[in-house]
Amino acid sequence: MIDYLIYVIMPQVLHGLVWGTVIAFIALGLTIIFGLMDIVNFAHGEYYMVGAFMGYTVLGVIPNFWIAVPVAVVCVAILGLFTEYVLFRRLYGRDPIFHLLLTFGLGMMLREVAQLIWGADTRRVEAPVQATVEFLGMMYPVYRLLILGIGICVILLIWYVLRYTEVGAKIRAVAQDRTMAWALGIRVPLIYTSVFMCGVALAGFAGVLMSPISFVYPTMGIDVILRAFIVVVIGGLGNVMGALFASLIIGEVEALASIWITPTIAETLVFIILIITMIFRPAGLFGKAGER
Amino acid sequence: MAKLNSGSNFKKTFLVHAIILAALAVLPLFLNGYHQKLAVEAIILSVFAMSLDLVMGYAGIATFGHAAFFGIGGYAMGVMLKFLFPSLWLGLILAGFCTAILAFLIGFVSIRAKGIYFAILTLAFAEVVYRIIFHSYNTPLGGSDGLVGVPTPMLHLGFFDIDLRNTVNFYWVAVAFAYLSYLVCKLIVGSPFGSILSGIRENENRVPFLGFNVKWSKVTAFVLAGIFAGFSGAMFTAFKTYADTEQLNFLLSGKVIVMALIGGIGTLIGPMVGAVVITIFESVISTYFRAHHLIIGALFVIVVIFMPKGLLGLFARKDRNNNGS
Repeated sequence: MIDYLIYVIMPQVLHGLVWGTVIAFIALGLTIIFGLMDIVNFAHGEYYMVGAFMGYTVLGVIPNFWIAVPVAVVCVAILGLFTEYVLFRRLYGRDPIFHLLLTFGLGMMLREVAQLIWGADTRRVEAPVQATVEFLGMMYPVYRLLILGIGICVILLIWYVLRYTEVGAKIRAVAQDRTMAWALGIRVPLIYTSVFMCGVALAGFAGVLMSPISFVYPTMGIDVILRAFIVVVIGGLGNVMGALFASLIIGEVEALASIWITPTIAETLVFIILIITMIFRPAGLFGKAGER
Repeated sequence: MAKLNSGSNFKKTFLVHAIILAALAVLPLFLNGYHQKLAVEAIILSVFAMSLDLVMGYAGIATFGHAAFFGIGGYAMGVMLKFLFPSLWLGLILAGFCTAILAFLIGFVSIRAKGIYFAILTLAFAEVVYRIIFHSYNTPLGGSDGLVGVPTPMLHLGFFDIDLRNTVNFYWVAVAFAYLSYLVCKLIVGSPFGSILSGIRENENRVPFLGFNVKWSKVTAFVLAGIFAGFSGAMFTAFKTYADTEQLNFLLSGKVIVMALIGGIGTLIGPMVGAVVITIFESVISTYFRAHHLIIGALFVIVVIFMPKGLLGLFARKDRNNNGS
């Protein structure tokens, strides 16, 4: 019984935590972008994919993972700046459905471009740390624990920035009432652009961090984005705490369920959780009723 | 509301319909085999896009999982033709039945959520359907390989039979199918029920004051849209002789919204035109470019940014003003 707990359940709990952290990275970007500018970014997973491919490309030139990570993140942020400035800016104030469609088309384009540049093959990136460590009586790869650590730090940082800094106060002000915020002298377009950049950069960061664990391929974003969407909707669109909480739940459910049932059915379970949540809380766990 | 037979317009409308139908009927005589096939696909997909318009253009609720109904209709037809009884009619009945039940379940549950939540919830439901069928390896549905080898049936019309293996015959049947579907949908949106739907789109909160049940009207619209999508999927499978998971994929759900938007939602005929335009466009560019998704994605972006009212947007607005709606 104890053995079962240590060798079967515990690794999956840790896997679930790591996976939940990665989903949280993507979901946080999604939910902040929605909360601030009403954009449902269906192409968010493609920024994740671009991050992973950028990391892969940089690693081909400079074989050092810790140089590849910031370079990839900066590349994704620049891509985010470009797309926000050229495309999203034209749709502010329109129904979120239009954003959904715009980003749907954008995602198609990014996937196709990635396929043209890097080909459709799946690629693998070597983990920078190969060691395993003994943890509660079992061996666990250090790299995964590293992701977990980095994830917690980044999430705490985001929380601190949003909660306790002047920038965070401005962002929250714009999210609450953009007209009023503008009247008070906050440069709303600047806030929009920078938050969008940070949001997609976070997805790119997740992509490059995940590249040693999962494979790198042009459609890798789709698998992640659907999950991130579910997490964001379960938590309540635009709700940061809700997204974090839901990421952990989804990560754990998926990891633990795959002990007893096949991973593909575990994936379907995630959708069923969403449906059940929406039946009882149509605006998400932490969303207020009557919200859009 | 533009009714089909409203007084003085009747002759004009009748003439326009007759001319369009006659033009469509002689079209395959000028096309080669490949283009005939493409025309059949385009016409079948036009019904799919039109069915979306019932729920999106008239009731004003955006659904992002419409491909589920198209796919399930296709699988229902495939199962009927391959395993049960080779009759197009029975296949259509089964497709309509299955999609009606599915649409009722999805609609009944999802309708509590509003706006973008509804869109994402329908997307999730469609994904569940997609995944269940995708992973159904050891069943007759064939999992990710799809249901292949569906025989093309004879169409029994009582006194004579039509051989649907001939593409031109199928084309004429598809035109008749699309036209009948259009007429039925036109009747639906012209009926008092259609007015309730438009009311919901314009101001959902006021409709209950007039004594109508918003929830049930929305669910009914969703089910009707699902049934027509199912019919369209069923015809698609009968024509293609297979049903596969591509027909259930969320990419198709997105594509059909863009088809409807390009044509102009809330017009019925607009989404049909949009579907034809996109299908032909996709086929043309995929013969010239390997990366045709890039161009289609760019087209989506352009449509959403520059013409949310669609190609027919300008005409439609004029038309509506004339009819005083």
